Formats: sequence, C-alpha cells, structure tokens
Amino acid sequence: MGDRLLIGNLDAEIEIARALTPGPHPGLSSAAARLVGAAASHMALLARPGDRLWLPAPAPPEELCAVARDRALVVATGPLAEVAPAGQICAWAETESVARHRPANADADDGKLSALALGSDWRAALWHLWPAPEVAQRVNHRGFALSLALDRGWALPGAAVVRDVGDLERHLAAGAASAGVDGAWVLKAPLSAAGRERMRYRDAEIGRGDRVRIERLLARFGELLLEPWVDRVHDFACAGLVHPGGVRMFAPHRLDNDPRGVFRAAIIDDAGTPEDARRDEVQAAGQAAGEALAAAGYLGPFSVDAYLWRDPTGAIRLQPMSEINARLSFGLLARIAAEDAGLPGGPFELRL
Amino acid sequence: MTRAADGSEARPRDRSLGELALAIVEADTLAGKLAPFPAGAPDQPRGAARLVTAPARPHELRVQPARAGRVPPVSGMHDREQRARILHALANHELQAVELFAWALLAFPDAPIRFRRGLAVILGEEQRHMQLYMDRLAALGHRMGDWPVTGHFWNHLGQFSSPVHFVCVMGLTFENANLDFAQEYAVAARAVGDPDTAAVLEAVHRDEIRHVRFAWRWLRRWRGESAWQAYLDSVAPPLGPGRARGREMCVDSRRAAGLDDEFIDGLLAAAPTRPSGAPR
Repeated sequence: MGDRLLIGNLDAEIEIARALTPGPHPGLSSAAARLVGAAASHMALLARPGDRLWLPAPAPPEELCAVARDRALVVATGPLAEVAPAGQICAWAETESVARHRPANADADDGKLSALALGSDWRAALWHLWPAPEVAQRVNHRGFALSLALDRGWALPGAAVVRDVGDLERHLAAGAASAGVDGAWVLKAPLSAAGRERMRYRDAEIGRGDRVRIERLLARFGELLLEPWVDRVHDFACAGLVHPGGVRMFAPHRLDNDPRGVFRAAIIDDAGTPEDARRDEVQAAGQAAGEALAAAGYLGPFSVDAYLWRDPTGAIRLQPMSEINARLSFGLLARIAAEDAGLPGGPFELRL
Repeated sequence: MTRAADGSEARPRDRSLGELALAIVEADTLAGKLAPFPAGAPDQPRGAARLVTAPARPHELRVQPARAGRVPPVSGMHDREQRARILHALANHELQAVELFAWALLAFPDAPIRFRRGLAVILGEEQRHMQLYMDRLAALGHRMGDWPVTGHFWNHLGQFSSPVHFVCVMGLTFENANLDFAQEYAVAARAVGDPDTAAVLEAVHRDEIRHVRFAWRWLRRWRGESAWQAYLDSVAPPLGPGRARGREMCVDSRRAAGLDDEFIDGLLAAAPTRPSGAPR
C-alpha cells in the first residue's frame, strides 16, 4: 500500500483562482498562513500513526491539534512539489498541484468505492475518492452554486453576478440590497474561502475609494457575486460524499461563525435542537447539491452551507444553500472526531 | 435525444460519456456540436474503442482542402472583414477541438476515469470558446459557414494512436501554440479598438493554460520525468516543437502551464513552422 500523505491545502481556493481568473492572486499573509496551517492539522483525524501531513505553512508544534501530536505525524511544509511521493493521498481539496502528486494507476474499482463510501468505515473512502482537478475548479466557482440556487429558487433576493461597477450600480438601484441589514451588501470573489476576498458596504452610493477597490477586485477575478448582507441568526451545514454510485448525505450539523461569517466551530448533534427545525430542508438542499456535483463529474467529499436569516420585516427565512464547498470540511472532520470519541452523531464540537 | 425501451425519452444526463461523445462527432448541425455535455454523465458502458475517421458536419462546414481556407495574417485584424475571417478560422479550430475531445472519449475507453472526466470538462470549454467566437463573428455581421473551413487538426488523426499521443498532439502542440497565437491576436484586437474580441481571446488564452497543464500532467504521469523526450517520441512531422509555438514564444504562459525548463528550452530552440512546414 505504501506510505500515506495528507495534504492540508486549506488555501486551495488561491490555486484555483490563479488557474481560472486573471489575477494576480498572492499567497496568504504569514499571519493567515500560520492560522491555516494550524487549522489544517485537524486533517490528522484521518491519519494513522506514521502518516505524513503537509501543511501550507509552518505551524509551531503547540499550535497543531492534539490528534496531530498524538498520532506522531510527520509534518512537512514548503512547496508541495518538493514533498516525497506517497502511495496514497488524501487532500483537503483537489487541485492541479495535488493531482501532479498522485501516484499513477491510483484508480480503484467503482463498486468497491461506493460500498466503502456507504459503509460504516466511510472515512476510508476519503483516501480513494477525488475528482479530476478540472472538475474541482469548475464546481468550486461560486457561479456553480449560484446557478443551482437560482434554478431552485434558493438564491437570496437580489443575488447576482456582476462584471463591472456599472452593472453593480444597476443591481443596487434595482434594490439588490434591500434585504440586507440597513441596506448592507457584500461582494464576494468567485473563488475564496474563510471570509477572504470580499467587500462589505452599507450604502448604495459607491464612493470613489470604494469604486477603485471594487474595480481592482473585479480586474483580478473577472466577476463578483453580489448579495445583500443579511442578518444571520443560525448557521448550518450539511456534508456528504459523492461516490461512483451516487451521493451519501450525513445529517446537517451546526456552525458557529463569527459576526463576519468566518468559521469558528462545527457542532455535530444529529438529535437536533429546536433551532434545527428546518434541517430536513437543508439536507434536501445538500442532496440536490450532491447530485449537481455528480452531474458535473465530481467525486469526493463536499458540504453546503445554509442559514436562517431575519428579513427586514422580522420574519425568519431559510437560505438552504448559500455555498457549495467541493472539498473536505470541518463538518466531516468533526463527524469523524465524534465517532472516535465514541459519540457518533454527537453531541460533539470541533472548534478551531 | 435517445429513446428508452419503454418509449420514453431519455434525458441527456442519462446518456453515457461515450454516447454523448458519439452524438457530438456525428452531429450535422451546429446545435448538435454545441449540445450540453455534462462532464459527470455516467461513464458506463464504455464499450470497445471506436475510431471515427471523420466528423459529420453541416454542409457549409464540411472540411475543405487547406488551400480553400486561407486565413489572413494577424495584421489583418485592423480590417473588419479580415478580422471576421480570422475569428471564423478560430471558431473552426474550436469546433475541431470539440470533435476531437469527443473522439478521444470514444477512442480511449480504457483510459483512467479522471482523464476521461478531464477530457469532458475541456470539451465543454471548447464549446464555450466556439460560442464566444461565433458571438464575435455575429457582431461583425457574419456566421459560421460564411467561409470554407479546413481540417487543420483532423488532418493529423493518424497521430492520435494512444492517450499519450493525444495529449502530445492536442495539448502540447496545438493548444501549446495557441498560448502564443491567442495572446498575439488579443493584443492586435485591442490595438485596433475591438476590446470585446480581445476579451474573448484573453479568456481563451487563460483556459488554454489549463488545457496545456492537463496534457502536461498526464504526460508526466504516463511517461515519468523525461517529458520532453516523451513528447518528441510521440509527435511526428509535420508536427513537432516548431508547431507548438508561435513566432514570438510566451515563456510565462508555459511556466504557468507547469512545463519544466527542459521542455521550455526545447521549444525555445525550435524554429517555429507553419502548417505547410515553411518557417513562420
């Protein structure tokens, strides 16, 4: 079987953005890279003693998660291309640099893969399920999720793709931000994660300085997603696996995000809480996303983010699918940690 | 649209990659060539390798001898009519790429699934490029079929004897060369005040980098470290390094596509040639 390598490329969106959009797309700042490195060490939950773990940036031993320390993983950083090959690879996200690292003839039998994904040892399937990087690039673009959301009537009121400032101003004049808190709106880069590469505003009038900043972001990405910045009251996510025979969904889990929407914790609690009353709808959206991913040729783990939000009239509404993350997620890692802790289905919390 | 045993119509999603690919190659309408190609379509049954010798085409797009489809040089971009002819030729290149990526799905049923999914994704992008060029043609008052088209890529079908040969010819020769041509045409279009055409060419150039990277990655996987030698072993005259570059070679684009120094140096040392074999 050979040795095994976990690739904690939590900065995969940058590599994908470099492949798909004009750029430039600089790497993470050293402070962000250190945080990402520490967060990526949670992939140790998929490891067995002696496996190697590649992190995009060095993380001091005391900042690695306890499992990474306990399992005595061999931690590597530096250019991925310089990391020694491995018999098996499990990556946070499939990218071209990950694909270049994969051993030849690594394809497994479809039937066995599906059985693995559907069975109790589903985590083992994560070492065998990965997409062609060309597919991963396509489905991780926000346009893919928006297209599904528009098709299903799930998009936030006013959500749109904009390609220039004039386009943005027309959408704002038409009320695109009216569902936002005090008219607030956000522009998100089509390939970004963890709250990076986005701009939040409160005014339909775009000032000169803001215009320049927006134009710069547009020049780098070609297009941006405009959404009202809504009052989120409860965050969910729902993870699954796309395997050759279909989609396996897990029960939705809760997310603890900070006020800027940046992830802090995944909470597995399959028994649910009163706030989770609409979890069936979230799971159905996750299933639909999984089927859309399968139709696009994707194989591997994914998750969708969802939330309850308060509209300007005070009514609570569900956004059943705000993002599709066609990659590993902390929700899946939390589920593995819960199983390892003897609490399959929770309650269990994985907090960064 | 196919019919199931119970007489109901099967949705495109239900057709396999091979069936969808065959439909593209056998389509005799532009709509058929541009039919949605879901990259995630089932890849079973794959069946035996099927070697199609020529594509079906609408009458006005049947392949003509090279002399019938002469294309103006890049300097012709300043003239609206010549620019349209250039765009027509570029759309024809994309049409052939669409067909040949479909051809590869039929010819190489035993190739790895992720290679086949990659072919399917790229096929969809070639369709998008073709549509973009057709839109620019329409903006200039023309449409596909207004001029004769050649079999610039199809003429080398004999060289596509394996997936390795396919990535060497399509990816590392034709698409590699387009890293120079698309950029050169984009600069020319912008210089003559046609930013919309320039934007299309720039988008194609960006995608082309990924397509070359796809070919490179699979060549490396199949042939190991000496990719340059493997490339030379896999292409035969009149193809070769001289056809994998333009007169001015953009090294940055090759680096962005992941090509190694040996490959780039080999291309730099090659004298660029025209399809006729004459120096470029």
